[in-house]
Amino acid sequence: MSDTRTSPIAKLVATSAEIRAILDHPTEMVKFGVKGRGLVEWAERHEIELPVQLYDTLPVGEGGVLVRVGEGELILECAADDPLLSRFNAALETAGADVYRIEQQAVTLVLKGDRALGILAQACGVNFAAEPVNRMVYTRVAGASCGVLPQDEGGQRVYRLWIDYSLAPHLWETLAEIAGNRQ
Amino acid sequence: MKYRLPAQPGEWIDRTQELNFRFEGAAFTGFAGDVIASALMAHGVQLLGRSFKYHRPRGVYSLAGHDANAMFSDGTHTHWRGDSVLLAQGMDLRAVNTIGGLKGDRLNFVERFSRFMPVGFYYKAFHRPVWAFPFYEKQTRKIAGLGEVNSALLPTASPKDYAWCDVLVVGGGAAGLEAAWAAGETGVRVMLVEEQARLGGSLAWQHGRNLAVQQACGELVAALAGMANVEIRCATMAGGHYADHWVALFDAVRMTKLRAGAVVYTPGAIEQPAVFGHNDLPGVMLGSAFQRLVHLYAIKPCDRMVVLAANSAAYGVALDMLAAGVEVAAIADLRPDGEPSVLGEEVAAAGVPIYRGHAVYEAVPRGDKGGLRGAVVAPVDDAIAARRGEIIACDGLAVSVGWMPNAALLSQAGVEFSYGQTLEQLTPIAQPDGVFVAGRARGVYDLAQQREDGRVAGYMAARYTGQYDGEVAAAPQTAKEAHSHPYPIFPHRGKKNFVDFDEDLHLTDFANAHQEGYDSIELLKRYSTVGMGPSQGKLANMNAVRILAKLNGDSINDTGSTTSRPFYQPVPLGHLAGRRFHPLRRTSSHEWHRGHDAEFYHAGDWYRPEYYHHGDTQRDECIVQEARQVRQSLGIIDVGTLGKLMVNGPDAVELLERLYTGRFKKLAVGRYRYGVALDERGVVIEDGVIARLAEDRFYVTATSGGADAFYREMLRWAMIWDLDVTLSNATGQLAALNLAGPHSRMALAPLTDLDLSPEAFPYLGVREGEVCGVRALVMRVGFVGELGYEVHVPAWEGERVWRALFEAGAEWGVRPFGVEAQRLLRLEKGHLIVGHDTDALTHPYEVGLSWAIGNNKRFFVGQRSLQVYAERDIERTLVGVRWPEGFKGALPEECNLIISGGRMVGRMTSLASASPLGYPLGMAFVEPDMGEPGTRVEVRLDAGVMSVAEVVALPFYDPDDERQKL
Repeated sequence: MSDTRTSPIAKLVATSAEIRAILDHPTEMVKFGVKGRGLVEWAERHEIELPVQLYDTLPVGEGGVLVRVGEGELILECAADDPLLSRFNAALETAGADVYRIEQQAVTLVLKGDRALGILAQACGVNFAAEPVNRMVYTRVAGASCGVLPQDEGGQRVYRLWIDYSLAPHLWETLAEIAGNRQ
Repeated sequence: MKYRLPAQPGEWIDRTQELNFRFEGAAFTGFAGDVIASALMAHGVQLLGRSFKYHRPRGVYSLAGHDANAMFSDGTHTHWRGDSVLLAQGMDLRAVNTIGGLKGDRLNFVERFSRFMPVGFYYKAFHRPVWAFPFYEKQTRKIAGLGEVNSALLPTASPKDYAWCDVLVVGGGAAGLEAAWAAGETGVRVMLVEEQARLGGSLAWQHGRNLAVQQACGELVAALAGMANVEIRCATMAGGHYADHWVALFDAVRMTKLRAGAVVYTPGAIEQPAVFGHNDLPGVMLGSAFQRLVHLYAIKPCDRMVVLAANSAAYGVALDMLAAGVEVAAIADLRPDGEPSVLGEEVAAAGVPIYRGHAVYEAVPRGDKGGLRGAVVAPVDDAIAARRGEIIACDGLAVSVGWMPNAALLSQAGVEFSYGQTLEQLTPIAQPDGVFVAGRARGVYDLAQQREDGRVAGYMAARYTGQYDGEVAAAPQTAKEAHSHPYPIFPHRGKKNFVDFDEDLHLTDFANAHQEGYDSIELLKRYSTVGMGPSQGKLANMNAVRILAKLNGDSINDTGSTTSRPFYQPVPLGHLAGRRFHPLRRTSSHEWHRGHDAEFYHAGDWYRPEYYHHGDTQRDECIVQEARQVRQSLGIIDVGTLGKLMVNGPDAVELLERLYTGRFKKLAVGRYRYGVALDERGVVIEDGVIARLAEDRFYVTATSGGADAFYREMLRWAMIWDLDVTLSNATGQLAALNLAGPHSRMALAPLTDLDLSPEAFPYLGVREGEVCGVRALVMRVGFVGELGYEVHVPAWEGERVWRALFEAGAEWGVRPFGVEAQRLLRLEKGHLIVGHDTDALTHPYEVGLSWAIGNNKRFFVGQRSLQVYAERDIERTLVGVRWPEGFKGALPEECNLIISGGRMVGRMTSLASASPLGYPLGMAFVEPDMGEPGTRVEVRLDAGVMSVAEVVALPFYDPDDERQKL
């Protein structure tokens, strides 16, 4: 994490080290949003590959991801020095009024390990076992609107959760409580 | 444990784990695997509870989870069912529904007055005289009900859980095991749920001591356990069936919301009682309860028994009891020809007297009425009630006269039933898509056929999911002979003949209700409460229908049955509530506020600092100090909760022109305006500022509580009007703070690249630049009536910027201020808060917002309604009110009414009991003719006394806005 950025759950994470093997909070990546009716043309003009279908994703750099969250909306999560982020910034500088940057400050949580699916099942009504990997699901987790991206990590599923900055403490506390209960 | 038998094949108890427990003050021991009732019966304890209404002695009846009269409490758990809750070490139990203990229950006198308590007596007795009703209510509440809720108990969080499968199988008996196996074999994901702690269903206790049956069951269970696609959940009850195969599952700690592709129900059948005199005495039990006691818990139920029979199962009971060392004194078989199968021969060969064509007329109580000493057996004929039969000495009486499909969940699922006289039971005649029924619930009694029936249902369910396309054989035929007696009811004029053990309803109650006109089953249920007790009619409804059918002279099918609703068995309310998900939002500086002793409160979805504690200073004084610091020097407030909406695109300004009452087409880039939004009725629903960042790019703020709803409204209108505009809700993405006070410019200037001079950055200006090296949007605002800057930065940078500004303000003694100080400051300034100073009927003319309505606009939402309002006199107006300087009297609450001449003429909307101005002040709605400054108004306080205030012109502070234009 850069020196200037403050995670809303930094203290919560620090005081629950015992569950980091199940519930983690990576902070080294940043998010960047692009939105507008001219998104497709803008991407073609700047030779930026787009996920084809709504909620499809493309891998970016080391562990990053580009998600198409609308016909005309993208969210990029990547390292702060990822070249794609620079290309996005540069491309937006010359963009017209039909494409523009939107603020993306969502917080990432990662559920992993054998109990990940069971923990999600205590907080969300979506059957993630039946969802394909690398497709984003927008739903409610623990009552909060949330994006959930099933991913494959060494043959085991992990679930990447994107939650609004202001709701991240609630989601962390709830999932940590469930993870700690072992019920 | 003198009634504990030697180890029985397949018993459920673990004799290596002895458990100590107490019941009604006495110490007992049991084994792990015992239910509470079995552990007590191992010691010969038959009296386990008192009945609901008459406080009659009761004991085990079904031992199948339906015994409403064997309930216990440990002081924490209100209703533990003795026939299903497992014994645990150290339990200290009492029977519910007694006063003074189970044996000496002081309420057992109630039965003596039973003739004055016919069905529905409370409807007729307790409403007159009216003045006595509170007394009746108090006494009734004291006596009625089962158990006491421990209100001091802290609730524990019960997890919520969701689960999914292709095929759900409910019931782990022979048919269910086969269904799960067949479905599992096709490869679909199967879940098998069983209410009991172990699989096997009736195979565990109705095996007739046939080890081959038990072995086959064990092999099937082992095969299922080896299937990776089959999940088995024992001690789990399917409690409700809802639309689209959504089934609620309950275990000891949680409710699981299960979504299945198809459901196979194999819930079996429930053995039914017979009605005769004193049929509720401890020691009178269903035949299946006798078998459960012997085979599951190795309990010898009694020493000498009589069996009331109407089917083969009764003879199986007799043989099992003989093997357990019980003397079977007689079988009273309701059938004139007795038992045709080999079982009949076996019983006869054992020397058991068989009374064919006989019924039990009466169970004869012991002297203490805590058990029975004999059974009166008499021939079945129409005159039975007038005759006295032979008394056969016994301390146990097994009732085995018939079965009813365990149909509650099936009915919820939409399965339709019909009563057939071949079987003398209800059987399914129509099933909804994706729901399958097998086994005894379908009327299949032969074990081999039950298994085949289960397999067929399993394959059918797998095929229904679309993942299996194999051929499926036809289901077996249902049984060809009746396993139930058509009318196992034998009136006894002198004794109580109970039909519903839960509610203490006896045969006469039904006759009385019918005489009073309750001749439909649904009305009868509601009047008599039959089937409304803890067992939900599982042991009462069938006989109630039979009785009503006979009284009406109708068939069972014409009489119908009552509606089954969730839950199959009562469930803890905590399971239904589950773990609470209450998402509350926190701003980026939340931890800083915590560290600075903020008192938080909930503002809509947000945690917000109400004020900051300051040593021993009282709340109101803290608030005034915070406000005073803003007025005099510098304060900082977290306004990250504000709605922050981006409106982009060629039609952005058009959208805003239509949504808000004001004009924005000519708003210059770098400027903002206050905006008011209305609904179609002209009611004020939202306000905020609309800042123009570029010709086609706007930044809009909205109220903390209303932002999400207003954003949805913007999306809706943008789509309806088909505007070329793109919206995004950045509320959670951006942090925001307001640096307010005469020194705010000096505090902010060193930290930003923006020129803050009044000329370069005037009041109502908006700029994009950097603050603390972070890209920021800065607005020069005046909500609190002082020079101020609202700084919006990315959320991840919010706390750092807050800290930096706080440190920068130290030179001017900066203090954080909370929502209360902000409300006080804006109140002094006469700024209203939408939703606080307005309500669901408020239009702009009532609250002095005429100036915010753009004249000659072509259209905005609510415009037509406003045109109507403009032609009418307003009915109320928002005014300022104040009390004298130094006023120390009682003050009103917000919303207290303003009274004039005994008439309500207004109400308070906002109030500050203290202010930097030195006097209490507020805003209020009053009738227009009371709005003139100097008018005295009387506000009625909660205590009923009046407080006199004076109407004053708004604002209270800086009417020429000189402070915010510094």
